[in-house]
Amino acid sequence: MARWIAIGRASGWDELKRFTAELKETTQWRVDQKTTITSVYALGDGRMVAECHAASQADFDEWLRKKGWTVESVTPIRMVAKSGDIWNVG
Amino acid sequence: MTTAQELKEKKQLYFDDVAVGHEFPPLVIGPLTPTHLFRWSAAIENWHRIHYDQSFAVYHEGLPGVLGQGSWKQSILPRYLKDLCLPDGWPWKVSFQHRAMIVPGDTLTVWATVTKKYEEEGLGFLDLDVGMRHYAETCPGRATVVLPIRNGKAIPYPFVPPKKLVSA
Repeated sequence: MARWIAIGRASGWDELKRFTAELKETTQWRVDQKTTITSVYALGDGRMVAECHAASQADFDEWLRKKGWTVESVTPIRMVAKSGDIWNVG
Repeated sequence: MTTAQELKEKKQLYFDDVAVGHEFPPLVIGPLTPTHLFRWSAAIENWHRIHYDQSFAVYHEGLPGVLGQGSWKQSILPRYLKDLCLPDGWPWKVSFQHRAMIVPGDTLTVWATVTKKYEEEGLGFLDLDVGMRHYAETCPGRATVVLPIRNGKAIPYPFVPPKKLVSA
């Protein structure tokens, strides 16, 4: 399973109500059986960050398109550190 | 979720009152949280990290999140059938498949529909289609329950299925 980080902007997602509505339901972040939006961050400068694992980047691109994101970049992830746990995911 | 008090006060459902096609009231559970999963892991001493360690589940196993245990699902369907049959009926048998993962955030609807009814040795038998849905059917299966016939004989405890049905 490959992983990517997208950086971009999503109008209205800096409001908690909208952010929740876009992401709370399981089907919104678990797009299909092979595509999961694992994390989404709303940054202080108005940009958004989303992390996805999927069989292909096209599946992530499709989610970003459906959600109305203006994407600056989508980049593969090689390694992840989470609170001291290191994962080689590249 | 059915409360203990509701079960205590539950009126008996009789074989006579159910027709083929009858849909039983569903049991809705959720949205599930990691606490539900951890509680079950602790209760049955299942320490596989996919059930409580989010980072391990996502970054090592490539899963969408921590996973609901198959054994938990296996406990829910019989419990649902038992609740339908209370106080004097009997959930005889159930079998089902595990077809989809469940994760925190999912809300599950447990359901049963009567597909066949028949009498044997003075007892009422219902064959059922059963399952557990979130946005997909996660556990399709079949079950057979025994309900008392109105003014008929009591279902023996422990229940011993009629030989004719066991050998069929």
